[in-house]
This record gives sequence, C-alpha cells and structure tokens, in this order.
Amino acid sequence: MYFAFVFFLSFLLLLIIFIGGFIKLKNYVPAKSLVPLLLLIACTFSLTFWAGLGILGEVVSKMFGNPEGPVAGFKTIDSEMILLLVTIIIVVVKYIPSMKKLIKSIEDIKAFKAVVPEVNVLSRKEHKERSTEEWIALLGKENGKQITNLFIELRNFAQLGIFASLAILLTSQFINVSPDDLYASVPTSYIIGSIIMFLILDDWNIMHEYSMEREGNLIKFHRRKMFVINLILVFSGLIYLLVGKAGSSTGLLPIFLILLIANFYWRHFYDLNKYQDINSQQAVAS
Amino acid sequence: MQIISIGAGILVTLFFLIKYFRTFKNLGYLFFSVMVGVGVHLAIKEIAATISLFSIFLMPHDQRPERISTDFDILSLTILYISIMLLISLYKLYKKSEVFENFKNNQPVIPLFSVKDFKATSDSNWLSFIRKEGQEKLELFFKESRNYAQLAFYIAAGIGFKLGLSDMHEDDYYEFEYFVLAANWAFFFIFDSWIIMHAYSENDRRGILAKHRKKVYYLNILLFAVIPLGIIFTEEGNISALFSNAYRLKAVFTITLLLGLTLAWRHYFDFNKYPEPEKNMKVTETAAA
Repeated sequence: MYFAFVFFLSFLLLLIIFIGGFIKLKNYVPAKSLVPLLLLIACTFSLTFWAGLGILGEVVSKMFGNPEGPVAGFKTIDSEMILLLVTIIIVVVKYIPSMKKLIKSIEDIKAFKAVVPEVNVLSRKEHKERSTEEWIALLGKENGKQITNLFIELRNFAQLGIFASLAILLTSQFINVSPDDLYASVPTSYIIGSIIMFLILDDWNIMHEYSMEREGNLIKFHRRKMFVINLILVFSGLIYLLVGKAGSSTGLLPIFLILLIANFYWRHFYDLNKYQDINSQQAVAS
Repeated sequence: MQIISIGAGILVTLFFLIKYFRTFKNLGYLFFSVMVGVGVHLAIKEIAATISLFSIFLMPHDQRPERISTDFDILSLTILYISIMLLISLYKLYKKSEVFENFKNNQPVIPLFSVKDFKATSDSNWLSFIRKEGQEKLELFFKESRNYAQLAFYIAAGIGFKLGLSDMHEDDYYEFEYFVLAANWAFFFIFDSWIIMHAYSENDRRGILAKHRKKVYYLNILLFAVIPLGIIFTEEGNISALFSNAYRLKAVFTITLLLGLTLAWRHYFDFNKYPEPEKNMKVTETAAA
C-alpha cells in the first residue's frame, strides 16, 4: 500500500514538473529542446523522490514494525542502508534549490535572447550545427553572464543526476530484496559503492560552491578528477546493471541506462571550463 | 622508528626555528617551529604504524594474528592519508618560507616567554614583511601554515580516536558499532572537505568561503571537545576510573594538549581574520603613534 502510494506520488511529481515546466518556459525555449530537458529533469527528480521515500519506508518499517521494539529493529538495519538513505536525502535536498536556480537561469535567457534573438540556446541540434567558437563568442558577450549561469546550473544539475541515478540503482536492491536475504545478497563492492558515492557527492558540493564564486571555474585537477570519477561511476553502474540482480529484479534497466547516460552527456557537454579555456587561449593569442 | 620520527621532528624544528629567528629576531616563534616538528614526528610515526598494521597481509596465513576490525582499518588509512598530505604540506611550507631569506630585520632580540612582546611585535613583523616582499607571498605562506596546522590537528584527533577505539571493550564495541562506523566516516569526510577547501583557497585570493570557515571552526571545536571525552568514557564509563589508570590519564592529557596547541596554531594563521592586513595594521600603527 505504502509503495503504491509512493509510486503514485512520484508519478504525480513527474507530471507536475513536466507540464508546469513546459507552461512556464514555453515562451522562452523552443518546444523541441524543452521536451527532452524537462523529461530528464522530471524523470531523474521523481525517481529519486520515489527511491528516497521507498527506502525511508523500509527503514521506518524495520524500526517500528519489529515486535521486539524500535531499538532491536534498528539493529537489524544494515548500516550501509542508512548511509544510502542519507545520500539520497542529500541529493533530493540539493536537487530542489538546484532545480529552482536552473529554471531561473533559463528564464534569465529572455534578456539574452533580446540581444541575440536568433540563437536557440537549448537546442541540441543548434549546438551541434553551431561551432564551439560561437559558444565562446556568446560567453564573451556582455550578456554572456546568463549563459555562464545556465551552464553552471546545468552542470550541477546533471552531476546530481548522475548521483541520483546511481542511488536509485543501489536502492532498487533494497526495495526488491526481502530483509532476510539482504545480508546474503549485498556484496562488498555494493557497500564500498555506497560510501564512495556519498564521499564524492560531498566533494562535489564543495567544488560547486567554490566554482560559483569563481564564475564557473573548477581547478584543473578537480575537473579531471570529476571526469574520471563520472566515467567510473557510469561504467560501474552499467556493469552492475548488466551482471547484477538489480536490472533483472526491477525491470527498470532502460530507465537507469537512459538517466545515467543522459546525465553524463549533459554534465560534460555543459562543462563551462572547456569553453572558457579556449576563450582565454584565443585572448592570449590575439 | 620512534628514534627516526623524533630525530626528524627535532631537525625540522631546528630548521624552522633558525629560519624564523634569523628573520624576525623573536624567540616566540619557537612555538611554531616546535609545532611543525611535532607534526612531522606524528606523521612519520603514524605512517610507520599503518605500514606495520597492514604488513600482516605479507605474512603466511597460519602466522597471521587475528584480523582487526574494518572500522579500525578505515581509521588507520585515513590517518595515513592525512600524514602523507602533511608531509607534502611540509615541502610546500619549506618552499614558501624561502622568501624569508631576503628579509632582514634589524630589531633587537625578543625574549622567549614574553607573550606581550610577541603579540606587540608579531603584527609589525608581518607588516614589514608585506612592505618588503608583498602581501601575496605572505598570504601564500599563511595559507600553507594554516593547512599544515589543520592537518596536524586532524592527525592528533585521529590518534585520539584510535586510542578510544583500541581500548574499547569488545561488548561496548558491538553495542556502539553504528556510532563508531558513522564517526569514522564523518572524520574522513571532514578531512576530505578541508583538502578541497584548501585547494580552492590556495588558487583564489578570496580564500575560504565564510560559510566553510564557520563550518571548519565549529567542527574543530567539536573534535576538540569530543575526542578527549571519548577516550575517558570508552573504557570504564566514568571520570573517577580515569585517575586509577595512569596510561589512560596520560593519553587524555597528551591528546588534549596536542589538540589545543594545534588548534591555537591553526587559528593564529587564519588569514581570513585579516581581510586587509595592511589596512588593519596601518590603523594599529596610527593609534599607537
């Protein structure tokens, strides 16, 4: 009953984000580029919400549903499960302001469009057709600040999306496996994965906060570190889905794959620093 | 290994003492030199301890002692990581204090235990230094000193944590298993966050964000309060038992002293306290005149 309610609530959230976002932004951004963007945001966010409430329900039912009392029930909970719950809660808590900022930065492009009306900022096709040099030129313009903010927010949102996708993947194990089988079915790599993901999430939050102060700049070492970590996270997620139990037991394999790859693509497409680097190199050369 | 670590600590202390004394003619800087030496001693000692802890993997299976707990392994690896970072920071500190070579101060020698004189001359020393060498160099030196002190503080906290864990009764350990696990990882996250904050502060003149400064400040106070209490209460669970155990009493005293000294040192070098040092010092000079 509880899980059905959570599923319904998450689906409702998905619809609200998608339809509400579409109505709010349709005047600023072309519909063809708005649909995939909002789908990504709505799916990642509502699935994270679903996973968070799902695992919270598991924890509460174990704590208070145990006949020996809450303390005895608490002892039966795997500590990594709590860590994963904390990770998901942090992702959701960070997601809400991030989504607000993202929508605001998209709205701000209205002013930018008034200056350069022919540019469809969020069209993927446009991105490909127009060269990197054009992006660099846009970033260098007076109203390029809006583009910079948009890039920063999209990068953060997509990075959180990678963590969220993996958190859902790991959570699916808990939700679908019976408590008795939990210890037997959770491998060590899974425990290490939970802890490392929490650590990286914490690191990313600090990096993002400093990068906002530095107009999107991340230290080169951190940029490389995050790229390598993201690659590892995506590949380990894929391998886990293909060889592990999660994919077959939940049937959510296609959603995980799309979310992981889409967030990874977006995260590195909107890596502001690569445009800034080329921009500064060109400035030095000229 | 104990002799090597003590020897290295003394050498580093002497090196920095001579450097500071030649520059500032102030024996009050003995405190900073000793703290740098203590940091090196602790780092080398902890690296050796962790290597010996993990060397059991090289032993044949039948000769291996009983495996220690995973939590203890995580803590040892965290301290090893901090120790390596501290030695890297020592090298950076050495490179950044090379600027003192060109700085000659003709003031009379300030005696050792004159805290008042030390305080009075400390600001004017830094001001003279800024005028001669520029504020940026001093900033870099301060930032590295702050990082070094913070890492030394974390090593002291880690050792205290380890002492608390190692003397814990087996029954207590299982009773507080989740707490120990959470505290262990929290300690690692606190340290890891500091490394990132320092990296950005080093690369940016704006330094550490106000929010993060407060966070680190309160976490330092928390660690300073919790670690000695943890050692006191993990075995017998009351303070009166502490006085009947000389080893434990000594451990609590040493850890509290180490934490306190490294914390004082770390906050002396908190460059953000002086957002515009030159301006502040000019005001002080005018008032004094």
